Amino acid sequence: MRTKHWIVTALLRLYPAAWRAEYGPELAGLLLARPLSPSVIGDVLWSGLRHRALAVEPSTILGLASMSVVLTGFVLTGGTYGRNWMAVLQPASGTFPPVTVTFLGTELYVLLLIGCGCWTRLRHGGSVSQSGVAAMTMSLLAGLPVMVGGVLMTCGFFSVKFLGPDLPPVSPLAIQISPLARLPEFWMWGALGGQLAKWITRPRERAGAIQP
Amino acid sequence: MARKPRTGPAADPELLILASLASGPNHGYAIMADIETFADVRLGPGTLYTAITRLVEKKLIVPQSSVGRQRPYRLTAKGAAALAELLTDMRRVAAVGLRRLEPA
Repeated sequence: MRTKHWIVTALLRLYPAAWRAEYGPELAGLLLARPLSPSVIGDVLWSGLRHRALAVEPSTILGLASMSVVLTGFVLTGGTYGRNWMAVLQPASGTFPPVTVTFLGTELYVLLLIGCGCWTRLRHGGSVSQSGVAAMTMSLLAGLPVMVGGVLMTCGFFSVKFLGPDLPPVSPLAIQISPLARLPEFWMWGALGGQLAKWITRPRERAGAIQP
Repeated sequence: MARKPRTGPAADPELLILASLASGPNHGYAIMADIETFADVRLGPGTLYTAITRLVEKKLIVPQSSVGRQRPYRLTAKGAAALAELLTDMRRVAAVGLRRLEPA
């Protein structure tokens, strides 16, 4: 019986805390009242993971996806460019000089920021400003590898050199603050996404207000 | 041994829960047993509570005050209307399909 209690408690821990607070005791009661077959455990496991996935904020999902793209970019660039992982960061003129990750400078990333703001607003409502904050959170997550790279450079774990002529030396501090320096811009794109979502949902909200 | 669940529109957990609650308020365990009796579908506890969560969010059912660990759910007017609409649609499709299957 103690083992069953332990398994039920472990299964319930898979669900998000808010869901657990609302439905946890009922589900626990139901699970304790019947045999725990592998199919029942599988069903609760799958359901818990689905709830957990659905509870994750859009900014976290998109931020982690962007981060994985950035990290993949690091690995692929390092792996294909040279033998000594020398070309991890590439120079670009469009963003904070002198170092940037190419992915963060693309238009696709702007679309992701707008999408993040839009998705956040559609999911939770809230103000346009909150959509902007969600885009900033996403960018902080995506920029984490870059900032960690800057810290590692400061600590002397590795250094970055560009192969072109007359290029300035890469400052670790610039790498660390580059994702932070662009946060206001990211907020703006996220807020734009939030505003777009507001326009999308306005006709529906109006229709809902008219109905008795 | 769990039976192989039936599939198709008539095995949709949300529809089955609404149909079960049409006879009056009931709690999770009783809903599950009722569905097994009238539809021969065994819903897993996780599937049941996922569907209950969705129905509560859509305001098609509402939880009532708890009795111990068990909390009964009641069909709302919106839920009853949604169930009636769904079943009417299913009946219409079923009637046409069955008629067409009959030998001429």
